Amino acid sequence: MPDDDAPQPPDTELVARAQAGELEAFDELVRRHSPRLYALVYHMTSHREDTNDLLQDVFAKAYRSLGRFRGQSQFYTWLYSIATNMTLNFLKKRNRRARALSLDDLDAGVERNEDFIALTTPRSPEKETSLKELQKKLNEAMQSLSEDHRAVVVMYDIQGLPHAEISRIMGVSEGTIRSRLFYAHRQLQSQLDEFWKK
Amino acid sequence: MNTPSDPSPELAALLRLKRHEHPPEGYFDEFAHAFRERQRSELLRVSAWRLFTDRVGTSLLEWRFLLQPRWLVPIGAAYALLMTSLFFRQAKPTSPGELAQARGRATATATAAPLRPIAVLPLPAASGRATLPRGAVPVSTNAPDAPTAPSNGLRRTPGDALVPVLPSTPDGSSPQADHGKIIILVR
Repeated sequence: MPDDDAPQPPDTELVARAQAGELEAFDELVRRHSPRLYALVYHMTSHREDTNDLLQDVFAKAYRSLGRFRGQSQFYTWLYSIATNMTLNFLKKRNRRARALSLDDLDAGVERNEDFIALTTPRSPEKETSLKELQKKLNEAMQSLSEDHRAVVVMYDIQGLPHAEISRIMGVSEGTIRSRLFYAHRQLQSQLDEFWKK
Repeated sequence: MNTPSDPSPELAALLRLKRHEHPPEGYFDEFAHAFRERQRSELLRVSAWRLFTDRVGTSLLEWRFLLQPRWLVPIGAAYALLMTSLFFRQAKPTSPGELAQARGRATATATAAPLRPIAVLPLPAASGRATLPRGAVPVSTNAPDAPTAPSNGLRRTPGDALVPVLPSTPDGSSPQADHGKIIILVR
């Protein structure tokens, strides 16, 4: 049984071993990065099955392209680029609308989260119901954004990546990222303002 | 400090809440397992195809080197050389036997028909030395290897040009044409 306290090898070492043909090293990279990549793809597609399929394809492509990875960027940046590009391409082809998400997708630990507490305090069933509706409204507003704008909102606001990192992942300037964020926030805000005024 | 692109605190909090949206328990273990299965099956498929191509490639391996760029120039040059030599081989005979045959045919043709004079011109004799017309070949009727000359003292050249017959000098120097005449012969 592996020791959880043992120091984990860095990505660079795992990548080098995977490039040398060690499949287990790539398995470890998949385990390490799949949660964050899942979140990225899931918030962009709002669809679990699509997310699962896309994520499989992302890692398959990453493995096939691993020989071309020269370490000029961090491995997760490179992986994010592949995931973002594949997801954007997928979304541009997809015609159907994604289903709206709900708070049922939140994990059990959310009730201790300070954002959740702030949004639901003082605690009351009405307040929680209101939050669920608010969350639903946010998801709808997210779906109304263009794919590129949604991607920067997911990476910046949900995943907490800095502008520079998003710029590298998407291959555009930081100015473009800030501009996209500005317009995306304004659009989200305008759609939620109506709900907040009620 | 907020930047112009930052959302309102409420919107930011709502968006951060989405970090807690996770797939069901055990999803990532299943995902890693499924990916592992898919990856191995893909590798097996690729390996089978690679094995096939390797076998085909091995059978062609002895000749594959000819397709390498460094061999293309020598092969091309050799081909060009071969084609050039074939072209010239057809254009003119090169072997001694063929040359002799060709000369024999020409001589036979030249001696077969008699010549007859159609014009008689005085041989130019400036400063005591003759200026022979272009193409004329001076020969001596006294030379031991001289071919049999026609009775009119002229020798035919292959093109039936006019040829004055000059007396040879005793010391072997160039023959001089102090006087004489040029007779134009035609067949």
